[in-house]
Amino acid sequence: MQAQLWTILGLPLMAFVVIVFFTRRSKDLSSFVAIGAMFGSMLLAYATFIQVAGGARAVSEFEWLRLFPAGASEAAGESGTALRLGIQADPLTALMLVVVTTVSFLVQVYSRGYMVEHGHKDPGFSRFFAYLSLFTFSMLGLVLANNLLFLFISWELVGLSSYLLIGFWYQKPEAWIAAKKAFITTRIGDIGFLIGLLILWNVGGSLQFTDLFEQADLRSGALFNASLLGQPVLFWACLGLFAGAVGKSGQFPLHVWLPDAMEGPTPVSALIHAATMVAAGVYLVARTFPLFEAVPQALSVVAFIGGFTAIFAGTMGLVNNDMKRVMAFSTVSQLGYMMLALGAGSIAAAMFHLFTHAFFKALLFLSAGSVIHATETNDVREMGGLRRKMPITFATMLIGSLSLAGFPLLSGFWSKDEILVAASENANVVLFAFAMLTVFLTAFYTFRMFFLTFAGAYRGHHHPHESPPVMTVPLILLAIPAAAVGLWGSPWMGFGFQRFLEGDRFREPVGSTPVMLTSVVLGLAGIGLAYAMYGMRQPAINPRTVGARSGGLYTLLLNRWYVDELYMWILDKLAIGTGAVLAAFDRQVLDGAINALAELWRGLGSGLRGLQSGRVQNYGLYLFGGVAAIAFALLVAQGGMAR
Amino acid sequence: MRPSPTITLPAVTPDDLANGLLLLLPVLVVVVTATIALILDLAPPEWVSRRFLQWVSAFGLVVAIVYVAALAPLAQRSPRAFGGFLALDSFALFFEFLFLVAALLVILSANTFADRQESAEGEFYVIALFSTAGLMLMAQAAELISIYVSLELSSLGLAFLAASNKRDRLADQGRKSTEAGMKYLLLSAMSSAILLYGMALMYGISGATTLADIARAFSRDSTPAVILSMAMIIAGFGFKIAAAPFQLWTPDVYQGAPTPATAFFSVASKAAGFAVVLRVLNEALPGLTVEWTGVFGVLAFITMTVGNLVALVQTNIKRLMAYSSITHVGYLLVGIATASPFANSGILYYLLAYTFTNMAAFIVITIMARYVPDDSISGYVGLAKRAPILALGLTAALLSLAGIPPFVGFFAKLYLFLAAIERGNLGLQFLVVWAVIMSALSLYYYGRVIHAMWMREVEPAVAATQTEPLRTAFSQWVALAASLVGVLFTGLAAAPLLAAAQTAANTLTP
Repeated sequence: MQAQLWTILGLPLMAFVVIVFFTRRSKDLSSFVAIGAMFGSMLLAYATFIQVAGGARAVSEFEWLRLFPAGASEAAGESGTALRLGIQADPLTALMLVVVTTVSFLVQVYSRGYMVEHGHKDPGFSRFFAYLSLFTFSMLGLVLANNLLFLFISWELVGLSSYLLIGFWYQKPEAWIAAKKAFITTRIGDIGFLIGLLILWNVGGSLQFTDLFEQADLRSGALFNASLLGQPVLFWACLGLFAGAVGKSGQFPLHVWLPDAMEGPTPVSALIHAATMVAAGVYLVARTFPLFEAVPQALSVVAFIGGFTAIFAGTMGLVNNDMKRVMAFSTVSQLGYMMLALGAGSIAAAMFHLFTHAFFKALLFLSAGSVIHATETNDVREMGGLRRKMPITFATMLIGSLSLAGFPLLSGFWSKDEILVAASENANVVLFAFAMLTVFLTAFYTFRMFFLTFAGAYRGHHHPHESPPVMTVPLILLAIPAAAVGLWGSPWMGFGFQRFLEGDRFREPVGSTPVMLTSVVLGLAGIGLAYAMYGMRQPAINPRTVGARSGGLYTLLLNRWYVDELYMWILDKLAIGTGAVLAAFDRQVLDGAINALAELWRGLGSGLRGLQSGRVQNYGLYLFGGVAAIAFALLVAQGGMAR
Repeated sequence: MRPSPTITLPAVTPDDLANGLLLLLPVLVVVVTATIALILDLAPPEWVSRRFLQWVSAFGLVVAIVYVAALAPLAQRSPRAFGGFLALDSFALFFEFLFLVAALLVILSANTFADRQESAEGEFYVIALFSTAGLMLMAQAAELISIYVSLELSSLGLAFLAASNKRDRLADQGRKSTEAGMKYLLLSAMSSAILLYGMALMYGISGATTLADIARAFSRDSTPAVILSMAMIIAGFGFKIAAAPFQLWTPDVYQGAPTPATAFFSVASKAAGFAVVLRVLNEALPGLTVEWTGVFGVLAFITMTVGNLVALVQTNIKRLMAYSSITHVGYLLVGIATASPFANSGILYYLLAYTFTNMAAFIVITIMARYVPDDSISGYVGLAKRAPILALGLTAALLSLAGIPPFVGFFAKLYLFLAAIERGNLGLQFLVVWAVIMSALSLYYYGRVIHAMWMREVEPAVAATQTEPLRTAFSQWVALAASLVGVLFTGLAAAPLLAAAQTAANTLTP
């Protein structure tokens, strides 16, 4: 099984290398290499899944290097501490393997149709498949890792390939600006991740999950020593890890990159910004959950950020006219749900929603891609009436939307219900109210978009027609799990999903019926309101009137609460501004301020009189000033100590 | 009781001499190669071309590297030679290896610049080799006088290197190069003067010039005179390694010097500064650890902050790299402020990683110097289309500088920071957090270059002038490939290099 795991990881990497070095010039060959490798990975991932379900586990690791913290050396016969890299398979990993490989495979097949415009393959066709392979390799490394270091390396590689893919159409300025924004914003979260990692290594002495979990389970020891603000060390480590997750999963306050990332090709949005990469944050918290569990304060932070993001992103989705951005807000909001579930202590609910969401959100994105491919716009105001023109896309989009809105018996219904139940049991009542309200918002904006796209008459300027089979077949194949995969975790199948993930630890929820009924009613109300505003031939409620009567709220939402503007202001004024001032200091201020002194010095008859530039002397003075400062500081410090 | 103020020169026995010469072989090889190159350049036979000189120099360096490798087992056994003047331990050998690799890469990649000259190539190689010998002696020097002499030997050579582009008429490069050389010479003289004051004080207090004897004298009490001598020595070395507030010469000299010389400055000369700093602090001033760790902690904070923030607004790639190098000095100073063998090995590993990474970046910048005479970042727009391999190389190097895995820059930072937080000191932990934040910020300005290469289209008017393909010499490809192998694999397969760094760092501790 170890060889099998390494093969799953190796195949996409091989595809990347082969495309870059050998098949780059042949577009078809490159895409077949990528798809073939992905298909192989996918079959092996299924095999792994079945083996893991049968109780098998595997770890395969090697020593990366040996550290000798105390200055001991190998010659002295001390063993030092080994830093190991490795991979493993357990239920959580197996589950993610299935999601990543399946969605990636279908997206790659779909891309063979999507990346063709008017019969011409995109000039970067081969490059696109190379990037997709690199991304999938990194993502698989992320879910297979059995220690934080390997996870972090893959994590950064995922960010890098995401950067390449968002900026794939770099001819568009929006695309590269978005790529840069995504990369830098997620890096801000990664500061926390890296610091958390350093803390865990320093205090825990290991980065292997198993070692760290053992220490966390003790509920005492070095990790629980009080540190800053009286909190245990582990709390700060968890907070650091969570900061990384916040960046990657687009949670408040680092959510700003995800909507802009929609400038990338739509299959990329489906793969990276719906199903896999953005879920990595949720995965990270789920993977290191035993650490979070040991410090309840950290879990509260997770729950609060998650719950707030869910409703915050939901409000921004209400008014946007860009089809993909609405879905991006919806992704942020759903990821908030997952974080909320984690914060409420339920890995099973979070991962269940991650699992179903991956399928129905990928389906929604790919369906949207089909629409965009046909209408050549993202703007829902230039769509409408596509139901008859694109019947397959209409059907798949309907399934995806209903699932997202939590329509009874579809996948999203079961998993969202699990989260709401978990929140009702273990979360703050305000957060639970947020979660419930978000159900209504989700249903409304999803169907607002759906009706604007498919109902009424066509408002655009093209001649939309149904997409080719290479695109519609993946849609149909994705529609099946999007509709039905949730049944696996439903009471009807004895909570199979939860038992697979948690084993004996799982206990069935009780008294969840009122929560379920309320959420169904709220969801249907949202769909109904959307129908009344956008679905009817003669709207029962005029959207314009609502907008006009909302006061500033509509503008506020349209501008995403002005968070982006605030960040740009901070970056511009603080970082760049300070840099410019310091640079000016380097070049000019220093010259001017010390000029008088320099003149004096020159007058004293140093041998440097002939030089044209006055700078040399200034530098010299500055140098002596530095010496004086250091000596003075040291003497003062010493005087202080002596007393 | 004061020791008598006379310098007693150590007695040199025949055994000591033979042993010393054996261990001095790498330096001798470099000096001999330089002499041969000098003669061939001054009175060239007809069959000697510029390329030939280049390959002769490179060959000499490769031979020296082989000697260094061969001497590695020996070095662990005989730490001092010539009666304590030179230390020929694993620590010195590690740095000799680093300088030789850097010099080899610089010499292999110097073509573009030399082509613009009338006939200056020979002297560039000769002086680069002599400077390398000076740097190697710096790493070996174990006594105040040998430290000072080797420092001056290398500084003189480096000033010549900076000024060696004086005949270049393209875009006023010649004048800038002369100015850079002059500036470096003068400022280096000033900092040397300060250093010398410090050393003189040190001798005056302790009556000794060997580091071990000074350590013994200084362990007793720290009077104001001791503090003053230490402050002067720190300032003198601070200039060599370009730590803030002694960094002001860096951008001007980096920008004005010919690009291969800038590359040499940024890796070899800087590493030599760290070699001396590490040796002096650990072997001569262990009694004052509390004081100097405090000073270097503050310097680390200022250095990385200033370097990073100013780099944000640079538009010239060589100035950008100058501030980038200042930032990296800041990270390295965190290691100095940690003052543990673990951190010292982290500094060595970081310096090696930085050598590969920075050389990879500078090789591309050297190649591009012909096409972007003003070295502006906007000159790199569209490079990915024009020369994808060069763009890929520069991208890998910049990502490594920003500390993104799987490139070596990430592992070097990780290792160094692990060492720093291991001390459990709150100030150091704050420095590490700050360094992590700063390195995240650095992605912004490295990203601007990457962004220019990959994601911006060349304007049609400019594109029309870019019809000729980029000329890259074979030796430049070799150098680029070698440094990229370093960037990619010395992090993922770090074990052998780290083992060498750990052995080297352990020989330092008295």
